Amino acid sequence: MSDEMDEIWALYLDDGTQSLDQMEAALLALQEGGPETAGEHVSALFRAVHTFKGNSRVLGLAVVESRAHVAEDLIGLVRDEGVPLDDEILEILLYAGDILREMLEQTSASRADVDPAGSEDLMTQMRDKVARCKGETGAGAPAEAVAVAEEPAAAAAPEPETVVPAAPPIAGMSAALSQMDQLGGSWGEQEFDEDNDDDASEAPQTVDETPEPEPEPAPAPAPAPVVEAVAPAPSPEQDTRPVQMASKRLIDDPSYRDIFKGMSDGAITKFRGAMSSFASDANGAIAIAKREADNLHHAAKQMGLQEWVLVLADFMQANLDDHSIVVEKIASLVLRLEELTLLDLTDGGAQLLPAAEGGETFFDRVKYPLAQLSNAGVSWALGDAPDATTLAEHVAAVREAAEARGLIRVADAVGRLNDAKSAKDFRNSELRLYEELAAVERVLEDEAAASSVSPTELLRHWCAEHAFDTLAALDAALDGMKKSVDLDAQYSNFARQMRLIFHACIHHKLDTAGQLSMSLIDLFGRVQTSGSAPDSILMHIARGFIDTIELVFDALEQGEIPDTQSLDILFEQASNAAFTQEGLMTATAIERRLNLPEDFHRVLSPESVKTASAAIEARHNFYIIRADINDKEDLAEKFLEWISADNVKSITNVTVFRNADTLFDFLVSTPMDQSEVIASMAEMDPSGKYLAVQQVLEDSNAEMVTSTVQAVEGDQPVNQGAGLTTEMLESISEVAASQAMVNHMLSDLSEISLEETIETAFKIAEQDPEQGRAMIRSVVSQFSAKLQEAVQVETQLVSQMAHLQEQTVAIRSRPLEMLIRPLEALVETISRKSRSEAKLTSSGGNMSIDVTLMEHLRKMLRIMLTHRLNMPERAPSNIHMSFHRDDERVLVTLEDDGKGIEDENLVTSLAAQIHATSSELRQIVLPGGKGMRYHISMPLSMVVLEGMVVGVGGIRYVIPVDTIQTIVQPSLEAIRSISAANGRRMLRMDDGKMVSVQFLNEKSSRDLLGDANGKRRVFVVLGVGEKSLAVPVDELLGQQLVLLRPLRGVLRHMRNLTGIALLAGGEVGMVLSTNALIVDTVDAA
Amino acid sequence: MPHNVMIVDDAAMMRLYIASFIKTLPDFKVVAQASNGQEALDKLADLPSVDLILLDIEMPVMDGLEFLRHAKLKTRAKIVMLSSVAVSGSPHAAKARELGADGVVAKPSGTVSHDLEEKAGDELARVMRSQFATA
Repeated sequence: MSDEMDEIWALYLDDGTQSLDQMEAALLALQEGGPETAGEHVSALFRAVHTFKGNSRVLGLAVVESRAHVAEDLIGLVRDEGVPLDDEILEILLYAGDILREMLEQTSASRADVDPAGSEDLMTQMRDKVARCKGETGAGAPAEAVAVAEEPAAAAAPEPETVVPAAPPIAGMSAALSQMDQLGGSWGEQEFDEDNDDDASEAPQTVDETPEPEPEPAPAPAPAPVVEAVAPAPSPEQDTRPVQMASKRLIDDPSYRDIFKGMSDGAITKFRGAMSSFASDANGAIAIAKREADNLHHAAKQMGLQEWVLVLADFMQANLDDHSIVVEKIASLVLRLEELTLLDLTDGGAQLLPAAEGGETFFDRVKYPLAQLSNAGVSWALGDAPDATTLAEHVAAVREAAEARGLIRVADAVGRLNDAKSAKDFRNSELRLYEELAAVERVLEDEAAASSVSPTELLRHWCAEHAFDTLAALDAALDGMKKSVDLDAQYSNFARQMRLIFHACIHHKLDTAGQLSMSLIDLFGRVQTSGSAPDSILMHIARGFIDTIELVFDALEQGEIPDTQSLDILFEQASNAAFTQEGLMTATAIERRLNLPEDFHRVLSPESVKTASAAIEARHNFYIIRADINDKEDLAEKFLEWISADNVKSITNVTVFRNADTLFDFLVSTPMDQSEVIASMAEMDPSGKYLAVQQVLEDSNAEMVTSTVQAVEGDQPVNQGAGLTTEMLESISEVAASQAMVNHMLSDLSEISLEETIETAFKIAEQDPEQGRAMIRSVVSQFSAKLQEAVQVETQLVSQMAHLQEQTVAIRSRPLEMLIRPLEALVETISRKSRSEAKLTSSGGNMSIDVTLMEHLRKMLRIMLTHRLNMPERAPSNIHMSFHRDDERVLVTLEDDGKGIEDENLVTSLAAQIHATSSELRQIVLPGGKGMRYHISMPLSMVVLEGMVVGVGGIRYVIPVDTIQTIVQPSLEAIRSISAANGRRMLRMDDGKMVSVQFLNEKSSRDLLGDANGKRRVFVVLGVGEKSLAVPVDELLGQQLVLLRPLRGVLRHMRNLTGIALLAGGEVGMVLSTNALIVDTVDAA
Repeated sequence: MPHNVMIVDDAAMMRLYIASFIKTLPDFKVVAQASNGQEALDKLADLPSVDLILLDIEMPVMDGLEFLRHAKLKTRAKIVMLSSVAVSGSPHAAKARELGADGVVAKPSGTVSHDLEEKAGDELARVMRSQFATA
């Protein structure tokens, strides 16, 4: 024991020195450093003092702890409350550092707490500053002085010049601690006065021994006289108020509560130590117990904790000379104090408040039996099972009180305590009872407050204390779900433990985390009802929550600021889980896209989102229709029939409260235009009173593509657009989340050791074939299920990628009008300079091309126009530009009436652009030299293409949708070999037309008519003008918007291809050139 | 014996839809309806035999969450939220769970979901039955 204590004290000295060094270093850095590093140093400062305080508390050094505590409060104001770190604070804290260092050395040497008197000045300075920073006192008024003024005895004080020089009035824990120190060992010499003004009566004992504090710089209220004989005359105002109500109670101050809590914990530890050492040193143990009880008793009186005072007084009055009862008495005291630690401090110690007006409240009635029940629980946990009869009596008391108020759930819950078979059972039932009581408190808040009882606080406190155990249990429940072992029980356990974590979160004021825990209960609860195991999305969110909140609780325990950022992300994921599980666009994306009024934001279900997405896809119109139909059955029926018809889709609706009436706003989509909708409304409601189109909504994405036409200066680059839109960011997040899930699932899969399990199964099968087969079936089925799940999430990921790609493509696309307008301005400007009047006209400007291509084109046209307009001789006065596009190239023609002459200089100027875009330029002199025509042919690099993705011989091809005439699955007879065309295969269409068949690769030419299973092949019939050809494909993989990239390097010369495209699933698709295919196939034939 | 159900919803059409759906479930019977939380509390006092309450959230006079707060003290009836704002994982669903809702089901198409039976009927029936399977 002695060795251990030596070690502990050595550790205390070592840690304490380190903490104080860190404190000093942080303070010096703050004095010298700039504001950019201040936050970091303040955090370090806080941590150092917090650690020092905690270590002091562990060793029961209440005075040291109290000084560190107030220093920590002061730093906390700077760190958390935005109080500026001024020189005064720095000086006070440097002073505090010196004092704490002295205390550290002294306590390490003496292994006992220090005399508080030596640090009263520091306390006064720190409290004064804290109070001023909080704005609790008048300018410069010391906090303690104010507290004195609030004490009844002090407030009623006679004039300062009365008899005895002032000892510091006992106004707070500091004073209490001061007295305790001097009362140490004064067992039996002191009378325990239950009156509330006993501070005054005890004060004389401090007079001779406590040094007088330094005079305060600011005027302070007169200190309380401490003469027993003179009873202070209360002022008339004070007479009218109950004593406790009139004073600002110490228990209301969280700092004092913390200090008291630290003291009581320290005392309990010492009581336990006394019990242990009683056998070897009875007198020493009794002395320790007496001193601790005395100190704590006094502090409890200061705090106004009457229950504590009674319990401790009871112990102090016991005859401890009878050694046979000492250990029993101490043990009983410890139990009672532990019980009170749980009950009294957390209810704010307000039990001295009078009962609520009108008599005993429900909480008044249950307070005592609840305390006894709690006591029984503590005893049971320590191995002493409660007496069944006594337990039943307390249970009955609570039940009667509950039944009298009709609180049947409380009555049920308390009844379950009688059935507890173990301490653990009892604790669980007790927790459930407290949850019911907390529900009562939510409704009977005033009664609970009047009775100074807060089961909610107790519950939260308990949950916070046991949070790490609860998290471990949660983790185990998730493991159980993963193994699908007794799913229902695992779900219930999960919900139970998560609820306890919710209370712990609220205890720490972690509101988002609390809400997330409840969201998870909801999400898992719904899956439970469906009878299946939670999918990977939910498991991912739940695991993420458990891991994060554990770190958060840990940080809080260490006095650090927790990082709660990932909780926000998880919360977002949980809110969207219902949508991502179904691979849908999120509700937020729909809200933003349609610019939905806020009322609709909460009601978009996955079903609504599905309907809205389909309507957006179909380019329907969106309307909000206000319907006053709640009490008009006929009209309601008509209207609901209308929104259920084929050409109207009801997406969702919300309630609109107008006075006492309930109206509804329906969000509907329909291909009908507004006048048609209004006509329909009029037909149902000729009066026009009950149905009305409230708002017409626009798809903002549709607008985005066409509304970016802006006037751009001729020499300014083409506007690159908004870049990443919020919707795109959201899509990227969804993709990232899905990718994380796929990753998570794949690692799950990789953990399943098929080989090992099957090997084991084989061995078992040698003894018991049936069992071996069952084992293999089970593992394979489990593996398949997980694989299936991964495939589903992967499919969802592909769909999200496709969506993202479409958004990317849309955002890169620009109408050529953006290019024309600035060029018109350029022509005007140059011609004005040369005093001519040149005009630029154009056609085909409504065509859209990729922004990069447009930028190249802009530069080329600008060079050409500048060159032509600056010609020294016969500059053009009329210029016309025209734009065309096929599925492979952009064709631009520039024609003017200037001098007809080919110019190599112009070609040189355009060389860089021509090369970069693989374009071609032709110059044509118009007949008679009356003008010039330039042809620019640019390959459609980075063009947006609506493509049909097909698979042929294991390769993905993209066919431009606008060149597809039809898709057929012909019979054997429809395929002909035409000898006149060198045995070329032809496809006979339904209308009798013969179409050449073109194989895309060698592999595809095999099994022309179908595969080995007799499945007939699919032919995609392509056409340009009158010419068609049929391409046999193995599979049709769907239609998607793709971004076409040009072929570069050696690939440039590949036949029949326009370029390549990155497909949604990450594969590369070869983009077919229908033109080239037709030339190759049809023209050759 | 079928379980007795009370429907609490301010939309008259929705009460009709719900009642009509419950008629298709032989193990449940509608014994009372109310158009807001206060009316439901009043009726509940006279109807101790209610086993299950289907409760909307957004209602005038007293909303569903406030009703839940009060009713959870005084009835043993199971309370299942059926509301357009109770999409799974949403803040309203979380609040309802916090206040002790025994089950939560989202209306599929808003306050008045004419497609309740078609789109959420199976789920609602499962949630209702699970209240008594685990009791």
